[in-house]
Amino acid sequence: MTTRRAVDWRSALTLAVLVGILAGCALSAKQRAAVGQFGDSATTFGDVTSSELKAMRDDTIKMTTARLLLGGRSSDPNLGDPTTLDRGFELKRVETVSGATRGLAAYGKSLAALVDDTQSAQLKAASNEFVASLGRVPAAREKLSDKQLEAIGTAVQEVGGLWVEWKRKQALTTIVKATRGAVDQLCDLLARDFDPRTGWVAQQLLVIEAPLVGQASDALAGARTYNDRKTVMDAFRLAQSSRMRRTEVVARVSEAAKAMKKANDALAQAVEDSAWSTQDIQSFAERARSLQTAVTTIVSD
Amino acid sequence: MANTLGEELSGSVSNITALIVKTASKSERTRLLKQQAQIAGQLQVFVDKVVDEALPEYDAAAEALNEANNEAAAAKKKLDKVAGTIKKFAAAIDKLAALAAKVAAA
Repeated sequence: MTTRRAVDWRSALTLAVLVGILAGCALSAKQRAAVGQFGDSATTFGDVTSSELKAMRDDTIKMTTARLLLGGRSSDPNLGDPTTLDRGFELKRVETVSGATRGLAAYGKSLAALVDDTQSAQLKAASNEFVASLGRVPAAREKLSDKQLEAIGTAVQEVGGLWVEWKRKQALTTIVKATRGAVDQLCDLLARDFDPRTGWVAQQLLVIEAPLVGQASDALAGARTYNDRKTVMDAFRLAQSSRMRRTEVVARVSEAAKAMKKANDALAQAVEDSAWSTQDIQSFAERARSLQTAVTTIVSD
Repeated sequence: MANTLGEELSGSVSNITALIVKTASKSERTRLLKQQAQIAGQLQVFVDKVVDEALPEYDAAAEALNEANNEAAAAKKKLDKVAGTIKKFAAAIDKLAALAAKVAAA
C-alpha cells in the first residue's frame, strides 16, 4: 500500500515537473501578441505593395496609350510606343518584385497562423474521445470513477496543449531566425528602390507621367471643343493619379520597409526574451496601416 | 552629397515639364517637348540599367523567403497533428478493448 502511494506521488511529481518545464517553454501572451501584430502588418505591407505594383503597370499602359493618342509616336526611341505600351513596368519586372512582396505577405500569414490557437478545440475533442475509449475498456471502467476519467481527460488535454505550445515556440524561434537575413535583405531592397527621390520606381513613374503631362498641356492649348478638352482632361487625371502614387504611396512603401526591418530585429529578440520591447513592431504596424490608408484614399479618388 | 545621375535627370524632366505647362508659346512648347522626350529617354535608359541589376537580388531574397514559408507550413501541420495523435490512441484503445472482449468470450 505504502509502495503504491509512493509510486503515485512520484508519478504526480514527475508530471508536475514536466508540466512546469513545458509551461516555461511556451510563448507568453505578450510574445504571441507581438508575433501576431508583426505577421498581420507584414501581410498588409506585402499585399498592398503587390497590388500597387500591378496598379502601376495598369496605369503605365493607360498613360502611354493616352500620350500616343494625343501626340503620336514617341520622338525618343527609349520611350514606350504602340508595341511597348507597358514600357517601364513590363511583366517580368512587376512579377519579380511583386513575387518578393507576395513572399513577405505569405511570411506574415505563416507567422500569424503559427500563433493562432486553432489547436485548443481540436485537443478538447480528441481528449474527450480518448476518455470515452478508456471508459469502454471493462478493466478501466471497473477501477476508475467518472471523476477520475474526467481528470485523465483534462490531463491529456493540458499536456497536449503544453506540448503544442512548446513546439509552437520552437517552430517560431527557428523560422524567425532562419528568415531574418532574407527579410532584412528584402526590406533593404524595397526601401532603396521605393525611395521617392533616388529609387527607380519613382523615377520610372516620372518617365511615363511627365511626357503625358507635356503632350496633354500642348493639346489643351489647342483644344477648341468640349470633347477635345474632355480627352485632354482624362489624360491629366491619369497623370494626377500616377503622381499621387509616385509621391505618396512610393514614399510610404519605403518607410514601411525600413520600419519592417527594425521590427524584424525586434521580433527575433522578442521570441527569445518576453521582456523585450515591442515598440518597433508597433511602429511597423502604424507604417503598414498608413500605406493601406493612403492607397485606399488614392484609389477611391 | 552630390545628386546621382537618376536624381539629376529626374530633376531636369520635372523642370522641363513645369515649363511646358507654363508657357503660352506654341513654338517654345514644341521645342521643350522634344527636349523632354530626350531627357526622359535618358532617364529610361538609366532606370533600365538599375532594374537589370536589382531583379536578381529580388529573386535571391524571395527564394530564401519561400523556403522559410514552406518550413512554417510544415511546422503548423505538425502542431495540428497532436490532436490527431491523441485520437489515434483512442482508436487503439477501442481496438484493444474489442480484442479483450473477444478473448474473454472465447
